[in-house]
Amino acid sequence: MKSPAGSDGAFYLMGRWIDHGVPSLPPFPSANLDAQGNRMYEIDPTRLDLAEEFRKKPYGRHSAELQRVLNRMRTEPFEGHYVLLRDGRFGPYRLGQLGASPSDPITPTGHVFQSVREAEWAVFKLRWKKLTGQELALA
Amino acid sequence: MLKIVGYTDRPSVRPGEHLDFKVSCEGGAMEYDTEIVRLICGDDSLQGPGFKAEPVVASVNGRYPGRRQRINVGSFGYVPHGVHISDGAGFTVAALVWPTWLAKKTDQAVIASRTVAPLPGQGWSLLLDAAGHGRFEISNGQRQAAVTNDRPLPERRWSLLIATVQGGTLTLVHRLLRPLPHETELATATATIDFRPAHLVATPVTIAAELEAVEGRRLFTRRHFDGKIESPVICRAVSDATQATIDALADDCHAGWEFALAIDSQRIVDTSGNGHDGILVNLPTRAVTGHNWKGQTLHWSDRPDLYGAIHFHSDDLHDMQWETDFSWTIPQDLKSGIYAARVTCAGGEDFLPFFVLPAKDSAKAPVAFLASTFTFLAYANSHHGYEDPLSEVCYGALLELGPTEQFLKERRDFGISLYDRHRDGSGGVYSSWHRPILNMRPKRALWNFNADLHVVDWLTAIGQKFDVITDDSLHAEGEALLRDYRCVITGSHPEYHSAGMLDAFEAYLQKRGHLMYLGGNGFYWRVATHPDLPGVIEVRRGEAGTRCFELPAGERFHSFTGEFGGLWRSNGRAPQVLVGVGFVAEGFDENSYFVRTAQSFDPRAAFIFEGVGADEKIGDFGVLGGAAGYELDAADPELGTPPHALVLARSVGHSNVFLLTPEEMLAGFPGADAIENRKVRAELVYFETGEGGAVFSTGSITWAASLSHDRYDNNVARITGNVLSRFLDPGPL
Repeated sequence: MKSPAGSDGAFYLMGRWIDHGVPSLPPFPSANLDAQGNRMYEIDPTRLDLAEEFRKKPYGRHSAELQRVLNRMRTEPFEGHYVLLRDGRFGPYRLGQLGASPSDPITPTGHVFQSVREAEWAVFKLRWKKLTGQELALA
Repeated sequence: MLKIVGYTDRPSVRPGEHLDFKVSCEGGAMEYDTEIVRLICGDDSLQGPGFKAEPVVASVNGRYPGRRQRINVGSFGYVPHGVHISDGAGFTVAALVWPTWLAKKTDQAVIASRTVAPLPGQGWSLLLDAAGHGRFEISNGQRQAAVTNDRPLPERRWSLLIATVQGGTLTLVHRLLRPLPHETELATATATIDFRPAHLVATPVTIAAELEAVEGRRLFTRRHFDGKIESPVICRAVSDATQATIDALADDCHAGWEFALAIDSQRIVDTSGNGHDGILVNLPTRAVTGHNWKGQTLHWSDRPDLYGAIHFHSDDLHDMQWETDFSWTIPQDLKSGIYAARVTCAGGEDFLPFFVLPAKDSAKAPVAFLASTFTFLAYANSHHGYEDPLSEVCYGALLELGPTEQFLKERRDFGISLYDRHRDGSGGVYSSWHRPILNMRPKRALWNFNADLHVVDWLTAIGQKFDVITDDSLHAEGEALLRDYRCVITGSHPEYHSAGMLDAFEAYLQKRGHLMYLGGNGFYWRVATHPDLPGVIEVRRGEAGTRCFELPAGERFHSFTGEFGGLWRSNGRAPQVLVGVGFVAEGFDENSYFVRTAQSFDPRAAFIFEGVGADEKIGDFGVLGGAAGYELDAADPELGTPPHALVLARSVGHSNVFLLTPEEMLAGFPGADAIENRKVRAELVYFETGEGGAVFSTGSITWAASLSHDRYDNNVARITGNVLSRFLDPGPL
């Protein structure tokens, strides 16, 4: 259903357009829209405190806002989703990305990590850049 | 790449019985070594108790020639004595078709009759071509003719394909059973054939595949079809296929298979009266809705005529049928335990586990450890971790593919688990022992089999004599298997049970039996088995529960038994009734610990906490970081926790990733995680039963992973040991 001109912030319900007051959507594609054009949670690139919180404690209880960031990152689309390839019993870990479908091969990115925690932080930074458009300015 | 893999012909054996071992050297090794070992602990992690296996002097230990064994994956119907079609005679082939995976872009045979020798390829095939168009091919072994429709079949909708050979003409009609407004109902194509078709005498007929080779009793097939097929028929040539219906064709046919018959079997029945009955290979899904199902019933046995379809998958697998490398007669003096054949070759190692029960007439140990073989089967060769886009957010950690997972990802021919979708997107409902189950091994992730060895390790460390029994043997033998034991101990994740197993536990607990449920998410799903299919389970997941897929409407009753599938909670036998607790939450990022409740100071529970302080954190340690974790169970009087049950301890401090299970949420609402929701916790529960029996439940999968901490001297081991000692004491509780 195509939205009437000038009402990008509207949605179609029960046979009519409802203006819900949300500002017009940015043009597609955007890091904050999924492939179907649905608006996603937007990561605030100034919230370096959340990145620092994750770096200190990648697993376990997190602040509510960091959890939203992680949910956004971890629900990235199947194609290109980051995974770890472990070739030995306890590492090292190669970073890879899933293909378009489960039957497609995993493509290694070239990153290699000695621990899973190291990998978690590196992937967090990669996703931060992808979803905010900005390098994560933490070492 | 795993270099060597194998399996045994069944999970459970007793002294005096034979066990066959089947090995494939996938890396091409010319020889390999075998050693039988008794597994004590499979946890080789740096923080764990270490890998422990005792070598066993066995006649089969030694060196064997290596070979790579073939696999034929994909289900099909096989009619060994097919239809006699005279030289040059016309005929018609037809079937209702509901394709599910056109995107694979390969030929998919619906029904075929092809010779494999002496002149391969003689015969015909009705198929979908790589573009999804209906196609009929006919060959005399040297020349081939074909006719193809000019439009593809739609996915997940019913079509009727009718191919006719008459004189020098091939005709193929594609009829849409319910065309959409913009669609044409019929598509017809014709082609000429300028050779005489081969004289086919009793050439085998295959459904959903073409026969490629026959090696002894093993059939090898190609061009597998994904989707549902209904009412395939072979009949006299019809003059006008555009007017034909499948029922009319089936009424007067050379052979016609009515899949609505014998649904609870692997037989396909020819209703022509000509005796062309066949079998199903590799467990396609039966009891699935047919073209005429519109919700009239949800239970296939009420109206089998609405369930005349079979769903075939190109990654279905029942039995790899590998040749046996060696057989071993279990010695009479071999003590009960978890064993494995350790097979090694250059650069490769595998363990082929099996479970040795005590001889039926022998003296029993006071304790039985129940190995969760049905759970191991349900998760066998699971792919869902890296095939489900929600896995990472569910686990709260990056997905990790070790060597086994990387191997399985490449080798779909090792079959799928009951957590996986088939390649066509439909959910897996059957799982078989007759293949290497590569995630049921020591020295790998601490989950199910390998995690359960922590209990065996602890029993061994404290010097407790115990026997090993299994889900499959309990299902077969019932309460008789339990009655000789003072105490039965489960593993960390006894998730799958049949009605007979629950009956056995209930009877046991009424007769002074003692049950220690040392896990979480237990007694959760209903399992069905079939007497003709040893080593196979079926699980039809129902309306609720933590699932990786939802089965189609109308397909939630087991084909093996006719029983409704799903949660035991949905079947009127919630786990809270049997063990006091039931599944409430899961999370996999960080595990936690328990704190005592006021009820833990009840005099009835005093024996449990001897040596444990009032304020001690229980299990804030362990190989997995805490004794409360992964999957959590709690008491719920509304679901059947006995009113006299004591909730002894409760877990705290779980993360945002621990969420309520779907069946605990009648509607979505904010605040379903452990930080905000008080129901996200594990509970330690104790209660007495019947004539002096009792149940102790830990409600957490990671409890057992804390037993070995500090050389088995910790409050998790102390509580578990206190309970075990008291349960073995013949005095009244």
